Amino acid sequence: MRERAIRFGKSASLIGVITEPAQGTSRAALGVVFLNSGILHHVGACRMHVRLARQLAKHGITSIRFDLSGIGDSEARKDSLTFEQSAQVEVQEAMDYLTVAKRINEFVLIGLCSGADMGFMVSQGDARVVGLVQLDAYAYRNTGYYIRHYAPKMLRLGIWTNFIRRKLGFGAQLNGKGPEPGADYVRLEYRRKFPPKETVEAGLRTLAERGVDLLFLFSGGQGDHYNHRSQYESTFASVNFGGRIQVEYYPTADHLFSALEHQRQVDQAIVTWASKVEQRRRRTEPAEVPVIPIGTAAARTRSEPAAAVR
Amino acid sequence: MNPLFFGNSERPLYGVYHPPRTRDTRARGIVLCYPLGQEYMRAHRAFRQLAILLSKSGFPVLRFDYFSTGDSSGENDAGTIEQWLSDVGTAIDELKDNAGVERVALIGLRLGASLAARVQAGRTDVSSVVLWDPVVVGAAYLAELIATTGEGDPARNAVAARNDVIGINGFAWTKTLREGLDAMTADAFPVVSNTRVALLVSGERDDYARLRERYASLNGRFTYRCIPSPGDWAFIDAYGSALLPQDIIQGIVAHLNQECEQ
Repeated sequence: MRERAIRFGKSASLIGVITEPAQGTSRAALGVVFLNSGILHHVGACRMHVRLARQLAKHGITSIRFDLSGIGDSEARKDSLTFEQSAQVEVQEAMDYLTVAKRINEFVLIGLCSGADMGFMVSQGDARVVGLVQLDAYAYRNTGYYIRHYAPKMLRLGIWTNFIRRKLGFGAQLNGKGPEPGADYVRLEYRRKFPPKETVEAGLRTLAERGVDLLFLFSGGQGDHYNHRSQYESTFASVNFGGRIQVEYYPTADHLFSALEHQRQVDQAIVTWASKVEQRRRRTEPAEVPVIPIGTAAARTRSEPAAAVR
Repeated sequence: MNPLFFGNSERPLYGVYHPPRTRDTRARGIVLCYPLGQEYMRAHRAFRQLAILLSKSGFPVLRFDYFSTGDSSGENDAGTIEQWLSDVGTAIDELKDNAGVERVALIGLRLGASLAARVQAGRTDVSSVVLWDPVVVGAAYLAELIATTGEGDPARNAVAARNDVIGINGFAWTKTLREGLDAMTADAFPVVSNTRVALLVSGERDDYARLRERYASLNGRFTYRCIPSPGDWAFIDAYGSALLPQDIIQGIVAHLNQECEQ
């Protein structure tokens, strides 16, 4: 396994690390791009991206983890693009880098929370994306969710007494909010807003028609929207995934998958899935994948990779 | 900002070098020593800002990840206090080589401050050290960290039972590491007569008072300032927010500038 620190992007202002298999070992044609989760820098929550990058390299897979502009080690942009616009361009620049420097044309995007959202958005318009791993992706409550959520509570006396107290105006303190972040606290100005379910459904259909492999991992930390392994496919039952979807659910995990045992389980699930995707795609060798720039990237010429830094 | 891997090629360390952004470069470089575990994640943004402000004051700055942390080599459970002390030395050598300076200052936060204090005692090229909210008593620090994790996480306990690693807010703390922390007290902070020491803290604490007594013999070479600011470095929320205490960051930059002009 070898790692290099790089600067890349239009103005070489993006900073990241490439992890690739040891010299002399076989290399997958598939590359992985790790995406920032909120304000967490490119090592990922609890160092998840570093762990995964090194394990994937043992399976021949090259990856890049990097910071979007203004996050982690990357400088802020000086143009007027919104975060969503610039993030999209920059994820594509990361893929461009691996294409030029490592001759990789097919990519898997991996992201948690806002990183999952970003991966979903970019994958819609870029045919180089052949796989998508979303941890705590957009999720929508359905009938099954409500039954699983409320059925156990209906049987508990305390729920009813609290309900009555609230109705009588005695329970306002039960919903007290935590302190608002002040000037000394920073959270990325990315407000997670779930799009309408129909929008996500249409996006999933686009990916399914393109044959994109999908892996979803949900934690108990997203329990206000998701509470069963089968919920995702049940919610999007109208989409024909063609057997290219895998969903895992870790009810005791928090949103950052911080417990060491959950980290091990998540690592294993992703690495095993990525290896299978790589093997399957090699069995059906694809035609040359066209590069389809989207958004503002359309006006951009593919940038040469910046010189790697020792 | 220039990212780089440096040090032993078998165990490379990741760092970001911030060259001076002024025409007149300071003759002294600055190495930033991160805290560990979740505190490292929470402080990353603050360190980036601190490094940028110092580079705008003319200092060449290197911030880096210790072995088994961040982007540096090493599994999550491979770090030891001794290794990290050695890593600070490696970073000092790298900065001197990269920036062409002969002397450096160290700025350390939390456990990074404790490491910085110990490293400066063994070197002649460290002219000053800034201890920012230092961890003074290792055992108390560990107890504080454990208290933030809540009770009864079955997955974490299962791992701890197998290989004696405790998971604290997503990071592995081995038995070796915990023993290293147990040995850390105020007495582990060496007092070296030809070095300047600044203790800059976000709030008053008994263990900081003990440290002040210890450094009192340095007289004019010791500075103490309490700059009331948020200092809950071990806190973790569902999304991993960062702490960016502006006043104390500005205070550190002002202190280094003042020290260089004396």
